[in-house]
Amino acid sequence: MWAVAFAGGGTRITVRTYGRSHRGLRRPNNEDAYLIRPLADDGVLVAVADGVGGGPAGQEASRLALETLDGAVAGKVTDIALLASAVSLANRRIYESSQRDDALAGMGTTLTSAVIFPHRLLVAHVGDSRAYQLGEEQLVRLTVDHSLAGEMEALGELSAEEAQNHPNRHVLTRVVGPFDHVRIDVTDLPWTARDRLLLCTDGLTAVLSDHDIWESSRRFSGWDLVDSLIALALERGGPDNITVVLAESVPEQGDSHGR
Amino acid sequence: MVGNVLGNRYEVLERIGTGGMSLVYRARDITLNRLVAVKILKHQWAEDPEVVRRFEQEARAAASLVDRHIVQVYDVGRDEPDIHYMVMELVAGETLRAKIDREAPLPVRTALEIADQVAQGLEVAHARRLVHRDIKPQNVLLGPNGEVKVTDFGIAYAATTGTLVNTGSLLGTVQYLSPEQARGKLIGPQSDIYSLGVVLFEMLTGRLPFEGDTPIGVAIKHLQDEPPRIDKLRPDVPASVANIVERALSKDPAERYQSAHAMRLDIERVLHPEPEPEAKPALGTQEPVEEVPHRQRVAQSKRAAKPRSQWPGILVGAVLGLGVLGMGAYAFHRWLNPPIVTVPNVIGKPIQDARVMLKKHGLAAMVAGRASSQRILPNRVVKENPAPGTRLKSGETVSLVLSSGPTTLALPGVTQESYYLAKQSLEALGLRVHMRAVASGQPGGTVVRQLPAAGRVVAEGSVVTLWVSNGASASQLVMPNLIGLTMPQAARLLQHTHVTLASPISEYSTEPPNTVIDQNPAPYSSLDGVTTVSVTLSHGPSPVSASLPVNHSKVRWIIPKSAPPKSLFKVVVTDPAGNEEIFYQQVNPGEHVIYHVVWYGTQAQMVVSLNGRLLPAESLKSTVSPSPSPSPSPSPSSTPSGAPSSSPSPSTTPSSGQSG
Repeated sequence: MWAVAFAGGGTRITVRTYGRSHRGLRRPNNEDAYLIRPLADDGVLVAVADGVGGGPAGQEASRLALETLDGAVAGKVTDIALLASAVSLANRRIYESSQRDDALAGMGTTLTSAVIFPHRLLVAHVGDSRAYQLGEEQLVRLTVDHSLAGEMEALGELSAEEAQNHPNRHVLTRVVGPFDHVRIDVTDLPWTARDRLLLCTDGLTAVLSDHDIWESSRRFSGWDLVDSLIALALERGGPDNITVVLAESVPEQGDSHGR
Repeated sequence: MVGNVLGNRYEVLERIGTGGMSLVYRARDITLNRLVAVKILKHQWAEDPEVVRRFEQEARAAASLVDRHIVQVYDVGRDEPDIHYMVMELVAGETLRAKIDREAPLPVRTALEIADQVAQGLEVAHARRLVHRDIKPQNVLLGPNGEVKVTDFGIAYAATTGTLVNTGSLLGTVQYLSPEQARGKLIGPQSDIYSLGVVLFEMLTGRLPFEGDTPIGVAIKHLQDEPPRIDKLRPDVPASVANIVERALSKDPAERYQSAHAMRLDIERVLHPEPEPEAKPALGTQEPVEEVPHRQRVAQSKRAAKPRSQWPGILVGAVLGLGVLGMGAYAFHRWLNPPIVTVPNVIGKPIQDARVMLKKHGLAAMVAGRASSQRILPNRVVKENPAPGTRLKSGETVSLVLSSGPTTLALPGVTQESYYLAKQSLEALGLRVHMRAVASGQPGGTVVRQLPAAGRVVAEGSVVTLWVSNGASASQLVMPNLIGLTMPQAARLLQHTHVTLASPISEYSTEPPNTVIDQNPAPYSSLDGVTTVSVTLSHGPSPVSASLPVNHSKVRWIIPKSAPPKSLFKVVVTDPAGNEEIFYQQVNPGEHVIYHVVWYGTQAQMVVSLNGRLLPAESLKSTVSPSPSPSPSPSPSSTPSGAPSSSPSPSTTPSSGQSG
């Protein structure tokens, strides 16, 4: 767990981050990975990646994506363009590795990354991992799944339920790595200390609805929230690797450690 | 993988393709001594039990499909370490994708014939409740004799459905995806028909019905947009054909053809329409006369009643579209004239009988003309107008077309039949049959090829040549490896095949003189359809290289620190013997590049560039005194040509071992 303190609006606010990745119950290995990196300028970079391409290739892709992202950001992100270019660099790095090694040909990964500043959130996203804003009143999905079902849902062609039950819901339309260019969705939005940020891979959302996540997030926080979400996904079969990263802002005073 | 023997039986020869989750190799089945294709699950998937389970399950399902329009799956197996493979029929030829890319738009007839055969394959699969789900030109193989085969049954299923939980594969092409597949609804045989409709559209126009920048844009168009009419894009496509595509591309599966068989019927009606008795079909080559189902005759007779002069010279295929119009006219007609009698079916009856039958129904008969017919004997009715089943007022006249016999006739297809039956049926049509024995994959006695092809119109008494399998199969016989042999040795090896040696050509080579250094077709390729093999013999070393010293130079460069990472470094060495060696490498700043050059003569020219920018020219100078070259190793990497082509040009840096 990382805790980053920043001075915001007079009171000191601490962002605490929690991340866990579980192999799940049905997959032979874990192709997911996550990254939590405190930044120099009062921010924290978080990301999840879900490798595509089977076994070692998937693992290599997600690992390489996060490693590149981390290196490119180099402890400092000032704006969304920088975050996006880091994702773009990750794409290039994976693409080139896959060109060199036959066993890695076609590998790719989802990559959902975010930088939390005291009053601002940056998100760069490719694939079907998700970022949620857990507000006080509601849960907001900040990303569109780059799958056939997800994009059709975003365009209003499918209902959320139809998309959830789509047989091709895991077939991706965009991932980082297989081609020399990738289109990246970016968001730059205001943020408050009351908002919590949840990043997760589709191992969670394949079996949990937005409503399930919202219910859990009202009851739990910190490690409890992360673990309860993973436990629920496992209870429902744990068909895929499950990765959850949570970032919460808490006031400096009082007991703020994850329980 | 190449060189491995899987399951003690399949010797992997070379890679011939790559799929999303698998690699495809050409291989030799040692037990049956025939060439096969082996599809191997990529090893990154091999440790995923879910993927493996589906791979094997679907391979078994596909193996149950036996049809000449489906690539046969022979075997499924696994081998250490974690190699999962599927053995399939090897189809020599190309994919429809390649043909479309090269030739589209295809001739209407060609496109329909391909679609017809794909539909036949689908029909067989659908009967086994197997939906392909990924019909696209990449999955349609075109064999050397124009035979069309669908491949990857079931594999698509494993790769794209949610049952393969969460492997998160990347979306392939959505260009052929049916609306219900895009929506994630239940899919069925009609989904394959939609995809086949898209393929047919593409064959006919060279473009896709829906295009867009992103997969999702295309998928949405499949849901929402009407496809363009083919006959608008390509005016020489008959409306009947455009109608077939339009129906196959209906958004609602219920509005499409309900079976591949139904689609085939429409396609075949266009391919083999019944000719008009009054006028010969306007297509360049005459169309075969075919009996057509009853309903179609109604349509055609109405067509005859309504001459459509705006379709001159167009494929007789226009029948179907006009048929639809005809139906309307028919309904209108009936509304005006309450029917009294039904026209009886007199097709095939002798004219006398036909007259009697019509008379019984209160109708008069009139002979309107004659037409040749393959199946109907002379002086019997080939066609009646109005068609059987039409309701007419009593007393009206039915015009009849009589058969003039098969003076010209359309050749029936006899491939896959036994030679005995094929010969009988051809001779019954007044044709003469020549037989040629050939080694092929078919059981002995099977006709594997015919010339002229099925559907060709020939005159009575023509010769039809049939290639008949002699039982030894061509796919069992592979081209022997002749390389390294002398001509007599090669001839001996070829004795037990039907392949003969063409007169050889010679080339300079460092291989022993008068031995084979190259052959075409290549070793181990299929002997199917091959009658001669041409070989290249070694003529011994080139006189030039023999008289020039052989040099081995080690050249080194250090890439400047200022160079960008991953720069492209290129070296071209040209020696007086005309050898040119090109060397590429991706390099990083500061990297040491070492290159070993073999060259002939006293001086060679070396041109070096980094990212396309030339570095100072250098030449290599011999340190060996000129003498005949018994160069032991390594052998030169390219074949020396006959004469020196360039003299060394002046150079500034006269040594090898440069850094650049």
